[in-house]
Amino acid sequence: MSPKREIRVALAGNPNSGKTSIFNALTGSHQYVGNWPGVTVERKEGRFTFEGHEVRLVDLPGTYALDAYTIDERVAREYLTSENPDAVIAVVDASNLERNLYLVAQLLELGARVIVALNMMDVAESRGLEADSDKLGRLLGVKVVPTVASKNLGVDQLRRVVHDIHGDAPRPGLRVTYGDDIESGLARLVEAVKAAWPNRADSARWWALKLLESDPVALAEMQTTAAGGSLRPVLDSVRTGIEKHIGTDAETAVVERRYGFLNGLVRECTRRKPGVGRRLAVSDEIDRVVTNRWIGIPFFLLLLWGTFQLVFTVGAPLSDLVDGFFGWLGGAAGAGLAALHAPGWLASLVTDGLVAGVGSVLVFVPNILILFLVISLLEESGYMARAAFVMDRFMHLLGLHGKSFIPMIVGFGCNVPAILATRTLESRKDRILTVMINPLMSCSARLPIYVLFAGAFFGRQQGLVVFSLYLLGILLAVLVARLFRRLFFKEEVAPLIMELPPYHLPTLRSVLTHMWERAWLFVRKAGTIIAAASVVIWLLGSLPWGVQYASESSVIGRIGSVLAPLLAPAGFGYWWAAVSLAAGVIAKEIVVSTMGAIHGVGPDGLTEVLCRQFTPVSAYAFMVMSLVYIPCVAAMAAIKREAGGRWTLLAIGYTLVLGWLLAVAVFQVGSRLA
Amino acid sequence: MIRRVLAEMKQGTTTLRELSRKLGIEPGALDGMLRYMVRRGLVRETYHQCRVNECRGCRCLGRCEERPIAGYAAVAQPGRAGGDRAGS
Repeated sequence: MSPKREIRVALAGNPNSGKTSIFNALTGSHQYVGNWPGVTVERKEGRFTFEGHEVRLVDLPGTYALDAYTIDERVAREYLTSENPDAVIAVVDASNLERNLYLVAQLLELGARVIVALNMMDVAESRGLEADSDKLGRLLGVKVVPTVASKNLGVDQLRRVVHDIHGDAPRPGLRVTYGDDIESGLARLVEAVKAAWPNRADSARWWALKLLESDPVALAEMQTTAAGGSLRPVLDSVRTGIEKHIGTDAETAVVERRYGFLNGLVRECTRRKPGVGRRLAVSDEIDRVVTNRWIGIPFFLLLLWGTFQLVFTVGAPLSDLVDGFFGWLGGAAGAGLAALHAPGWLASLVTDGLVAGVGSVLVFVPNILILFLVISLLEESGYMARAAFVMDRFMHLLGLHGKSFIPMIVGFGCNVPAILATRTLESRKDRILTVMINPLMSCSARLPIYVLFAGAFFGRQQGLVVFSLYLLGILLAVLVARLFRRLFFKEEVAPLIMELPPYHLPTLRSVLTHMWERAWLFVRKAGTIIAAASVVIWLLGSLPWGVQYASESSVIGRIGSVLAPLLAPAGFGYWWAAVSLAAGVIAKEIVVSTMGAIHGVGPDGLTEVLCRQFTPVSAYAFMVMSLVYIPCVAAMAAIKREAGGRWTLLAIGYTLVLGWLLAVAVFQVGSRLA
Repeated sequence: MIRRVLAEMKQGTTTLRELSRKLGIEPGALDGMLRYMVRRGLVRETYHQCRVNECRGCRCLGRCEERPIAGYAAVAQPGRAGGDRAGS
């Protein structure tokens, strides 16, 4: 009895099609791992026996096509064309059939004896997709074996098909038809290939297609072999003919027709089961609303409004508790220092400076916590990407690059990382433009100013007022971007296709972790920069020695008195308001802490002070000024690093002028209307 | 189909799923086409998104984790990104 010949089988498939699972299921522990010759791509081989036949299985690198643009594609193609295996198992993801069949079509064009392992049938079913494997087999002209490799289903049948097929005479599989306008030229090229390369007569159609597709390997062979020279005039003539008839280049025409053919084939042998794939359907239904051309933006604005309602309604009682604590702490510290016979200046430093300054900022921690809880939920669920998408669409309507909106959303947290996030934009013009408008986004550091003023003057409408400030920031950013694009960056913007991440339920742990990390940063800043600034403000308020603390005669009072007249047209020409805004350039939270330190009071006391000197209109003007004027020092440093010194000066200049103009406009118009 | 994708892209920003529904192409196949179009220089891949809440405030200096939002934009004047063309 003669020994049975070894059957050589190659395993091909797209990445993530379950190829490795099929390989493992077929070969078990009989595997050998090495490298493909000349490259560091892993080569796996395995063996199995079936009814006395030994099968050697070579796992080809995962590829989407048999082109020659990546190392993996070159390795797979080189093996198939030079080793000519007895069969090729093409592992196909049944849930992503159209894309996976592109490789199968190319394998068949190459003349390989293909067996399709229609894998991940369970995934396809869970998505409501029913693939008719028999019909697919008939249309492709090959054996199709349904498998679920992860559960070892269909693997035995696959072994049997491999065993049975190897002795058969090669049968012509599916032949993709490219349409008369391509086929007639292709036929001429096939004849030319046969004449130039007689040893490739069997795969002449494959090589002709590769030449049409500008395949680098095929072109190199044509250019370097003597016989190949006769191909060039034919190839050029066929290409010109196709381009003339179809109106696109030959390569695109071939790829397009191949996809078109497979699209039709998949429609023939698949069907969607009604009522299944519910989760996907729900996700699609949500997207229909939240990314809808007309509803998307109002929905986003509604969410933003709801967020600030929550920040106030839930945050207010918690802030009162923190405020009560700092009131007690200030009193206790004052009493303790008095009992220790500490000097008056020390008691003033601790109570008027540190406790009042730091306390007036820390009292807003609950509001910050709630804001970041909501932002975490929106981000984790996948909604933020949708918000970026709907804004992208809106910004395109204005002739702007919508992708700038993503770093702008980051700016709701802090402008510094948002400015750094512009690095992901590929065009320098887009990067600079986005950097320049980013300071207009309301970062969390401005929230204490908004909460303090809105709480003091707008009662039940405070959420709406803060919402209007966030909205104003977005609108100003859009308008400034449009102006800067006209002035400095004249170029057309291209629309996008975006791939949005799927929705998923956020985990409590990750949401709480993100919320806490953000709040901790705020607290740490209060304990360092804001505490230091409070001490400096206290010192300037106490000098020269002997002056009444934080009076107009103090150093800080004199500085503020010089600046105050500039702010008078905006309705807040008070020296302490001017000093607070100036100190806020270090960090925006310092605006509130400076007010606290100057007046030596916590938020409740500050509210009383504000109510005596501000009106609702001038309070709103002050918040607008705080939103727009000069980025903080850290943001300025980030702008300088990303865009350079001149752009930084422009950012400082335009935000200062714009902030002042808007504040004046709000006060002047508002006062007359009121 | 590739020309239909390009034509649709000119109509305005859209999502991969929305376009796949409109053209009756599986998202995976559309993704394959877009990758071909990137290689061919007809479209370009675009940006990533920095996660809002992974940012470490002013100290993160861009080290926060990036989660990609794959995007594709039409190229105004297409040029070849890979491979050579005979006769050109």
